Order: sequence, then C-alpha cells, then structure tokens
Amino acid sequence: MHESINEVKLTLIISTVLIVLFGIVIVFALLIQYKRRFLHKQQLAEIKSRYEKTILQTELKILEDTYKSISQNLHDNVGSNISTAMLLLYKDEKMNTEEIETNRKEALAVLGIIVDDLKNIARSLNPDYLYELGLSDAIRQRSDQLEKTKRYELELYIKEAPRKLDRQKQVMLFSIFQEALNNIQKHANANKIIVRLNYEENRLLMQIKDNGKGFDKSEAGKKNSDKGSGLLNMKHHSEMIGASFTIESEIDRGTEINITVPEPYAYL
Amino acid sequence: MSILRFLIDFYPLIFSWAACIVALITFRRWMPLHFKVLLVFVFLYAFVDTAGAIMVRYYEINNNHFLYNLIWGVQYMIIAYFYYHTLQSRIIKKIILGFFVVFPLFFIINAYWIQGFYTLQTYSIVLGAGFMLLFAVSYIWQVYTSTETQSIFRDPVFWFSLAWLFYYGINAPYLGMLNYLLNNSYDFAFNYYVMVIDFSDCLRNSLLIIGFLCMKALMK
Repeated sequence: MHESINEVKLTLIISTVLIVLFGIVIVFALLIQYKRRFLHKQQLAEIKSRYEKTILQTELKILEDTYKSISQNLHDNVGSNISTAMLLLYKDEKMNTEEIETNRKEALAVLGIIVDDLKNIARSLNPDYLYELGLSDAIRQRSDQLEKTKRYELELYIKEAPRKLDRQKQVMLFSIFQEALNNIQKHANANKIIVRLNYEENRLLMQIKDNGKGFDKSEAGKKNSDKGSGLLNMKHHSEMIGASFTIESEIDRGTEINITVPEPYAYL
Repeated sequence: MSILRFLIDFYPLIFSWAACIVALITFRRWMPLHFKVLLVFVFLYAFVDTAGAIMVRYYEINNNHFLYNLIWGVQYMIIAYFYYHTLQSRIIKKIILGFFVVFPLFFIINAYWIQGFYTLQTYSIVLGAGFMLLFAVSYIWQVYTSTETQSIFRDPVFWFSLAWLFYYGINAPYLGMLNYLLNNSYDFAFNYYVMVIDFSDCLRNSLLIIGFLCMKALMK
C-alpha cells in the first residue's frame, strides 16, 4: 500500500515536470520560429529594396543612353537634314521654275523625315516610353537610330508578343539590349548586327549577334574592364528576371548573346 | 487573521480578481461573441473561486466539490466554444463539435451514476482537461505553422493557449488522482495543492491578464 502511494506521488510529480518542460519547449520552439520568420521577412524586404534600386538605376541608365542617342540623332540626322532642307529651299536666280519645284518637293520630303525624327525624339523623352512603346518597338526604334549612323548593317527578326510583358522585365531586357549594342559600338569593331526577339508559348528568346573581332571570355571575366562590368551587368539583370544568360565569343569570329526568359508573362 | 496570513492563504484569489478586473476593462460590446463569453466567464470564475474559498475558510464546509464540478464543466464548454471560433483546422472543429455532445453526456452520466455530483468528478475533469490541452496545442501549432509575420507576443489567443496549456497540464494529473490522494495521503495532496496547484492558478491568471492586455492594445 505504502509503495503504491509512493508510485502515485512519483507519477504525479514526474507528469507535472514533464508537462511543464513540454510547455517550455513549445514556447522556445515558437520563439525560434518567430525569430526565423522575422529574419526571413527582413531578408525579403532587403531583397525587394535592392531589386527596386536596381530597377531604378537601370531605368536611369536607359534614360541616360536615350539622351545620348537623342543628342547624336539631333546632331547627325536632324541637324544635317535641316541644313539640306535649307539648301534645297534656297532660290538661286539662275534656277528655272522646274528646278525650284523639284528642290521644293525634295525639301518637303526631307522635312517629313525631320518631323518623323522629332516625333521619335519627343516620344523617347517620355519616361514611360519603353512601357508604352513595348519592348519590340523600342528595340526597333533603337536599331533604326543605330542604322542611321550607316556604320552597321542591321538585321532584325521580331516575332510579335501577344501581349505586353510586365514593366520590370521590359526594363531589364531593354537594358541588356542597350548594353549589348554599347559593347558592340565600343569594342567589337563589327559592321553587321543581327537581333532576334522570339516569343514562344512559355518562353521569350532574345539574341544579339555581331560579326566583330570577338574576345576571350576568360580574359573578359578576369579584367575589371568596362566590357567585363558590362557583361556582369547583363548577367545580373538577366538573373533578376529569372532569365538565363549565355554569351559565346571567339577571337575574330564575333559574339553571340542569348537570353531566355521562362514564363515571360508571369509576374515577378 | 493578519493581513499577511490573509495574503498567504488567498493569494491565488488576488490573481483571479486581477484577471477579472482586466477582463472587465477589456470588454467591449462590439467584440466577437466568443471573446465576450470568455471575458464574462473569467468574471464568473473569480466569484465561484472566492465562494469556494469562503466556504472552506469561514463556514468550514469542506466539501465544495459540487461547485467546482459545475464551474469546470461550464469552463470546458466555454473554452471549447472559444477555440471553435479561433482554430482553423476543420478536423479540430469537428472534434470540438463532437466534444459539445460527448462531454455534457459524460458529465451527466458521471454525476448520476458513476462518481456523483458531490464528489469531485475526476473522470470528467481529466477528460475535459485532455480536450483543452488538445485545443491549446492545436492553436500553438497553428501559430507555429502560420506564414504571418505578426508578432506572436501580441496575439491574445497565444497567451490564453499558453495559460491553459500550463494550467490543465499541471492540474489534470493532480485532479485525476485527487480522490485517491485525499483518502490515502491527505498531507501530500494538501501540500501539493498549496505549492503547485495554487501556483499554476496564479500562472494561468497572469497569462490571461497578458492576453487581455494584448486584446486591449489590439483594439487601439
């Protein structure tokens, strides 16, 4: 009997201790879980803030490049076209009526080109122009501007997108495209550029290819050069939108950049 | 009786009334019904607890068990009702619905045919406490697996669940064995009550007070 009551007492004490310990373990587990969740939330906020910062920087870079291209366009095309139109509209006393009429018609055609150029410039000055224009048209417009310099033969193959991509993806892809063109202009010494933009069911492919002097990939990665940082930027921007980025290049055999965006219409 | 003696004897009641006062301060008409019922019950429990203590101390009525049989039965139903509206798990909600049917039936059968109404209904108490532990642990699990990042320390139900987890966890084994202990080792039962059960009562009321204060902060 005495042993039995002692067993009951012991059971009671042990069960109470175990339950209190269980409660304490639960509280600690919750604390750890809460801390982990809090840290995760902080990390997410940091990633989001870094992402938004990069988007903003990229948009600014695009804007900066656009201003440069506008300045070049105003100088090379608009300026020279206005001079041409002025010359054509100049009436020489020796000219007959027929010649004056022909010059007037030519001047009108040149003025039409100037008006188109100015319209494009005005459009590109709008900060939302990339989104409003869409990626395909923005690439077309930028390629046209480059082609007008007469330094490059440009081939453009664009399979239209069924609908607009979200803003971040457009900004990142356009910045990669601009960066690739900048690299070609600065380093490639090429005269032919091929651009492909292909929308498929579940992915978007962008390819920029040139016939320039190419480079040694391992060297470009090692050096802290302009080209190296440009490549890193392109890679970084691709990663930010979940795209894969590959670059193929050989000395004297040109360079080919391929970007594949899976699920292009999924929101980031 | 000196004030010190009074405080030593009745200190759990002080916590009980403190919880009751905070519950009354927290009470708002527009609150969800399950919160209102809980707050009213805390008030009621403080009354019954005080009545039970007065019966023993001043009127020397040693058997106040019928009072606790009644209040514990009501307590289980109110906490189950509270968790029915707080827990998200469909399975647990079904268990609670089952509890609403099974527990009162068992309580009546126990009161009439097994342990009687004037003996402490240890079977009913242990059965109910087991369910309360299940609901409290379920809520804590719900918080643990939740993806929300809001602080758990501002969640009143977390504090309530912690209060009931400790309280029923400590009380269920003791009350389950109480009739046996009273008959075979009265001194141990008494000392254990004073040292452990009274402490668990204070702990529960303290945690309930924290929960009520969180509710008040949330309402702001």
